Amino acid sequence: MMGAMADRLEVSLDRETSTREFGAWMTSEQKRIFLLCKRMLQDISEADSATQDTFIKAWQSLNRSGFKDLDNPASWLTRIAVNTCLDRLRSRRWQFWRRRPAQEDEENILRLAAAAGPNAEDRIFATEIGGRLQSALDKLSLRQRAVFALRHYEDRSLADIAGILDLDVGTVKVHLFRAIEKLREELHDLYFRDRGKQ
Amino acid sequence: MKHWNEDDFQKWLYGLKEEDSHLESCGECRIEMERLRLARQRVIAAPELSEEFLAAQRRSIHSQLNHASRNFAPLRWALSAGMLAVVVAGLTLPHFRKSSVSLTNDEQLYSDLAAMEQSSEPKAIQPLHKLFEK
Repeated sequence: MMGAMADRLEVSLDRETSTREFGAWMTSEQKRIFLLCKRMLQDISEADSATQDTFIKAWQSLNRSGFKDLDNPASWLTRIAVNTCLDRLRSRRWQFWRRRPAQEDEENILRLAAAAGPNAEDRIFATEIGGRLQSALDKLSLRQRAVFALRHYEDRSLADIAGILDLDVGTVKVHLFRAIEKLREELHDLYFRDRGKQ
Repeated sequence: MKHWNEDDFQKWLYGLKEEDSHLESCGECRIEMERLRLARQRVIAAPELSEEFLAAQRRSIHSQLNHASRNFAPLRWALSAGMLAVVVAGLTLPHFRKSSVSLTNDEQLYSDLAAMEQSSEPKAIQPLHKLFEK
C-alpha cells in the first residue's frame, strides 16, 4: 500500500501487507500529526485522542476506497487531522462544562510526552515564548488557527495550505495576515526581542 | 531605499511578501534576513517526544484498528441485513393487508349486487308491503 516515506499511496490488495505498511507509515507521520493536533487544540490529552481518531479515520477511508492511489498522502492525512481538530474545537464551544485537566495533571502528561531535548537553551526558548504563542492562539478564529499552525509550525506553502483546507490562496493569505496581526506581540518577542544579542 | 522594517520581515517570513531589489542590495537587511531564517528553523524544528508516549499511542491505535476491523464487518452486514428485512417487510406487509381488505370489500360488493339482481323489488319498497298486509 505505501512505503514508510512514500510520496504516493499505492494499491495493495493484500490486507496483511496493508496493515503492516499502514503501521510503518503511521509511525513516520505520528509525531508530526500529534504535534499539529497539540498546537491546534492546546490540550495534550485531547491531541492524543485526536491523533488516534485521525489514523483510524485514515485507515477506514483507505479500506472503504479499496486502497486507491493517493498522490500526496501526507497532505491528505494533514487534512483529516485538521478537520478532526476543527470538529473538536467547534464542539468545545458548546461544552462550557468541559473538564479541563488539572494543572498538575497537564504537567504530568507534558513530562511524559516531552523527552529531554539536547539543548537546554532551545528547551527554554520552546517552553517560554512558544508556550506564550500557543496560548495566544485562542485569539484566533478556527480557520485562522488552522492556517497559522500549518504555516508557522509546519512551514507549508500557502498553496499547500489552500489545498489542505479547501480554500483559495487569497483566502489563506487573508486568514494568515489577520492571524499575524493578532499575534503581533508574541511574534515580535519570538523573532525580534533578542535582536541585539545576536 | 528604505530598510525593511519588522512588519516587512514578518510578512516575508510567512510568505506574504516577496524579496525585492532593496533586499538584494542591502547588506544590513540581508544579515537580518539570515538571522530570521535561523530563528524560523528553530521554530519549525519539532520538539522531542518520548518514544514511550508515541509507542503507547500506536498500541492504542492498533488495538482500535483491530477491534474495528474485527467487529465492523459482521456488524455492518448484520445491520444491512436488518435494514433490508425492515424495508422488505415495510413494502410487502401493507400490500398483503390491503389486498385482503380489498378482497373482503369486493366479495361484499359482489354479494350485495347479486342479491339486488335476484330481488325483483328494491329493499326500500319492503316497508310499503306491510301497509297492505291484513
